[in-house]
Amino acid sequence: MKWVLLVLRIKRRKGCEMMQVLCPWCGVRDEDEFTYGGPAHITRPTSGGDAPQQDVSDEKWASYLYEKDNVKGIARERWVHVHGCGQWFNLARDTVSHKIHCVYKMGEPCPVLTPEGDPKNRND
Amino acid sequence: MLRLKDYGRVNRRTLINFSFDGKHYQGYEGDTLASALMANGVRIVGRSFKYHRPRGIFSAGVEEPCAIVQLGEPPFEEPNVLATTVEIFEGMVTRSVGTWPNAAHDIFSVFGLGHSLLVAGFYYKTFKWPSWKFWSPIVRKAAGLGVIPKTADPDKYDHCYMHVDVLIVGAGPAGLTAALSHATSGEQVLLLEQDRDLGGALLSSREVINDRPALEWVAEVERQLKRLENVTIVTRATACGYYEDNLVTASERVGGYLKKEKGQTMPRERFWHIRAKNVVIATGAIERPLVFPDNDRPGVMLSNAVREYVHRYGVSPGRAILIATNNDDAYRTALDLHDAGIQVMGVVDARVNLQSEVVKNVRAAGIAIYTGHVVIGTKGRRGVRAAIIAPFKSAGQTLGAARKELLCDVVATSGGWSPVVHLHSQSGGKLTFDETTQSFVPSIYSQDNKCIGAANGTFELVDCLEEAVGNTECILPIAKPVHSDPLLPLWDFPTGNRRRKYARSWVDLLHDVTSKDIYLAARENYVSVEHFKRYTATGMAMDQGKTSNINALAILGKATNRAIPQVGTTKFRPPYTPVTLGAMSARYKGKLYTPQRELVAREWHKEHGAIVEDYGGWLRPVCYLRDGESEPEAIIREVHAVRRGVGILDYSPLGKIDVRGPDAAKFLNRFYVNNVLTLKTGKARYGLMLNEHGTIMDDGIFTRLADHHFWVTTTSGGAENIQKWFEEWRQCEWPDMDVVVTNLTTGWGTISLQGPDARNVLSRIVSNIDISKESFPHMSVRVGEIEGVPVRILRSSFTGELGFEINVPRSYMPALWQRLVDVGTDFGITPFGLEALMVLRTEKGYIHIGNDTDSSTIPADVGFGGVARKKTADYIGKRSLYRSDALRGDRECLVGLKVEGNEPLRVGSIILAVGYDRAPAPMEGRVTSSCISPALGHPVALGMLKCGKSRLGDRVKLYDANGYQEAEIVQPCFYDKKGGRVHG
Repeated sequence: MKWVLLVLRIKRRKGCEMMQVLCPWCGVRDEDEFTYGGPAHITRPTSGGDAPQQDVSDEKWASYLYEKDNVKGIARERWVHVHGCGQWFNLARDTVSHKIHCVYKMGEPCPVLTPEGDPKNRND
Repeated sequence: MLRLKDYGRVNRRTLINFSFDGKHYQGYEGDTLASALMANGVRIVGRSFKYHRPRGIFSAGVEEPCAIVQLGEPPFEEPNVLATTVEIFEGMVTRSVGTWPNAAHDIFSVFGLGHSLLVAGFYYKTFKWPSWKFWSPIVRKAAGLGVIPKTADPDKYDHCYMHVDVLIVGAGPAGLTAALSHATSGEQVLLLEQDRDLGGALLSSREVINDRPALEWVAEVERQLKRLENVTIVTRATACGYYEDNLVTASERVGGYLKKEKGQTMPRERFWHIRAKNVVIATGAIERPLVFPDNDRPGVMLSNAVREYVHRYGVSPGRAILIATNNDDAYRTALDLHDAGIQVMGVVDARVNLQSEVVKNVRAAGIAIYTGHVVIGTKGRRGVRAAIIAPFKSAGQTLGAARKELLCDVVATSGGWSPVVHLHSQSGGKLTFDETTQSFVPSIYSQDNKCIGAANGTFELVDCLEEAVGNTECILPIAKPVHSDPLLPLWDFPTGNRRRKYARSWVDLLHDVTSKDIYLAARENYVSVEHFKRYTATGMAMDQGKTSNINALAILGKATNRAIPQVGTTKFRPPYTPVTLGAMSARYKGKLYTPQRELVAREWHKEHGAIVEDYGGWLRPVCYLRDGESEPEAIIREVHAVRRGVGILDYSPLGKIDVRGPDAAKFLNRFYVNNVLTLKTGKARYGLMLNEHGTIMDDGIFTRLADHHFWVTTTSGGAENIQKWFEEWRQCEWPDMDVVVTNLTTGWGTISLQGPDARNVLSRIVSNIDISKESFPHMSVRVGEIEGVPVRILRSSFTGELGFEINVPRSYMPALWQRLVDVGTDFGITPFGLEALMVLRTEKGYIHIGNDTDSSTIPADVGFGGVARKKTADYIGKRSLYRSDALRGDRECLVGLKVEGNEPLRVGSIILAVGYDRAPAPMEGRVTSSCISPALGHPVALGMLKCGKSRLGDRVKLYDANGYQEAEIVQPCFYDKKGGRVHG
């Protein structure tokens, strides 16, 4: 039990912070105030509301649980400002350069980006 | 003594005593260990990594591959310190690394005899029998560098954080000019210099700026910068890592170079985290040596290092110095040495037709110049005595037949300069190979930074200054333009000897890699630069190939018929120079490693004999010792007290989460395996929480305080995670739900009264809540007051006895605790600790999440299959309970294990498959909780067993490292099987 806790603790303490993340509520903060929460825009398969979901196929469920894109380039991710305001939000990050191209609130539509990662001008 | 009169920046009035390899020496204030040893005539300062060949001081800075020492005595010990960068202090104790008995006379030097066996990758080829495991400790002992200190480091280390507009790394001519230009424009500037003094390369040269000696200009700029409030200068700080978003880390040596005074309060080192809007990299360049046979003898040095020892420390590395070069820079060394009165035996230059002014000056000084010659070997057992030179034709890369032996005790070599592009490369910037200087220079930037000066491949002083000023309004310092003859690429040449095709020419002095090893690696097809690096160990460990990389790449290119750009370079990874673990961990160690939570009533517990331990981040009483009692005795006494009378437990770490809002019931119903919607106000229910994989995450009791108001308990220490879990789903999946989640764990204390007399005790102080058996049944909750203090009382039990959990705002916790103990005295109220609780719950077969369950346990495995299935509404993890794996019949499930005799089962023991008496055998389960039941008088245990439910009555064999045991499979409940006592 204690060993498990020790391992958890070591995992909790990261090395030095590196990136900076723009929290849509608090502004720019160091990465170690945040926690990565997996890929964004993944729809949980349900059969609608609180209805039972056994009718979701094994394939669909397995895909939801395990089949995540391992993007090289711009990935859409969920992050949470865990040591700050506690809010979840989405961002588009280049997994090669670690550059964060845009940050948007949970529930907001995902901005369209050019292949270089810049938000597309609406007039285009 | 080889000290020079009127030279050097050391303070000759202050003598400093230090020791090396057990011998005592003296140096001056301002000396590095290397310069002081050199002044004392110590030539051999270490032994090489593999062959234990004698090695001397090779450089004068962070690129040093040879002069590595163990600094200090326990407990202030530091392995692998560079003699060339560490400043001496009074009483300093150092010794050479990996030698016995000392560097000068090393027993391991016999390895040199077997050098033909110890080639690149020899350990993959040689130590096959009996196994590498057998040889590894022996080889490590003979080949290692410094020794890891065995005692804890009592020194202090600190972290420093800074945000600036401009960070300038390096205070050479370019860095200083850039600092001045940025500072005058009003920006916040931080200037980092790894040396003690500002000036960089100017410290070891006789350059002229603004018609004055350059060092006067440096002093002037330093004064100017120090007057400005927007400039911070940190010396002895090496920028060692460059990360995303312009974060630069640096390690500053604060007190490490000082003698340990009693009560010294300064930290030994500071580790800086600097976030800069702009980073100016002015890290200069590092000289490369020439590669020729026996170029590792003590006395073979970098040309600029020779110059630096003369100018900075007033020490001459030798009495007769020969210079070997392929470029103009080494001629400056020749002139400086000549003017200092040191005998220069000649300049051996691979080039011909030299026109530049510096060459003419050297010729005019009467120094012999051997153009079109190279050094092809050195002589001398314990250091260079002579060098052999031969004519060299660069067109065919061939040696002429003539040989000439020149007496000398130092060979100063220069093979050109490599810009220090480490930080640029770490920042994500790209490099390109520059043919003129034969080095990698920055090309594409990926962050807001720029390289200037020698770090950008701009080697001449006048160009450096101009580049540093850039477009700013800063006045350009004036230096003399210089015309240099181009450098001649010179990497390796054939020996011309038919029997010894490849001589042993050292490329990487730190790892004893010779050009022969590189050819061998190429022949064995280690041609990818990353493979090659690991196979030969070139450029690994402390110096990270600062002097060897380009030479190694060029020779690998030659061996595989590729140009250097095609060979490519290995990735530059942080740190640039080694950083101590102390600096990285700073104060986050011991008690400050992680926050420790303590109970509000801790004083009471301590006064009453509590033994405290860390449970999930909380310091909680294990048990309360009475006079003369042992821990197991106390636990048994506490268990009996709960079963027979009444016990009181500080249960405050229990997770408590408040969930409110019109959608609270609907919200919680999506988390629990159990139905939340049907729960009536004032009632409580036990619930399991799953993750989407269907495995058990947490358990606890949820209670309904009002229609839209729930009070949820979680496992101790699990509250933060569960609150985060609630928030994640509330914010990301169900944002339309009107519900607020608040973690109240540390805001409320919890006192658990357990035992048949619990109600009798509570009734003495509760007046406005009816706590009778009929109106306050098991698994219900009441909100009210106790003597004016607000409380929420939950009737529940983790012990199997009649129990009340009294939640009270934390500030009232100690008072209420004391009050309950006072009124319970008549009933013999006994405080009990966590270990007694664990015994009590094991007797009852109550699971403890994380102990009895793991990340594969689903509700059906612990007896909640029916509940999980019956709930028709969707909840997290439900779909996963219909996976084929969750439905298979042979899953491990919770069972009780009964033992005869009085030896309890050992937790973690493996249950062997049927039909096996002895391990190895297939594993069918394991013991998860175990104790001796005080109530029953025999050992009881819980475990997970394949098909456990259908195996009641079976006898099983258990095994662990301590031996074999036997047990009988029973229902996972040993005490009060009907469960009447909780309703008492």
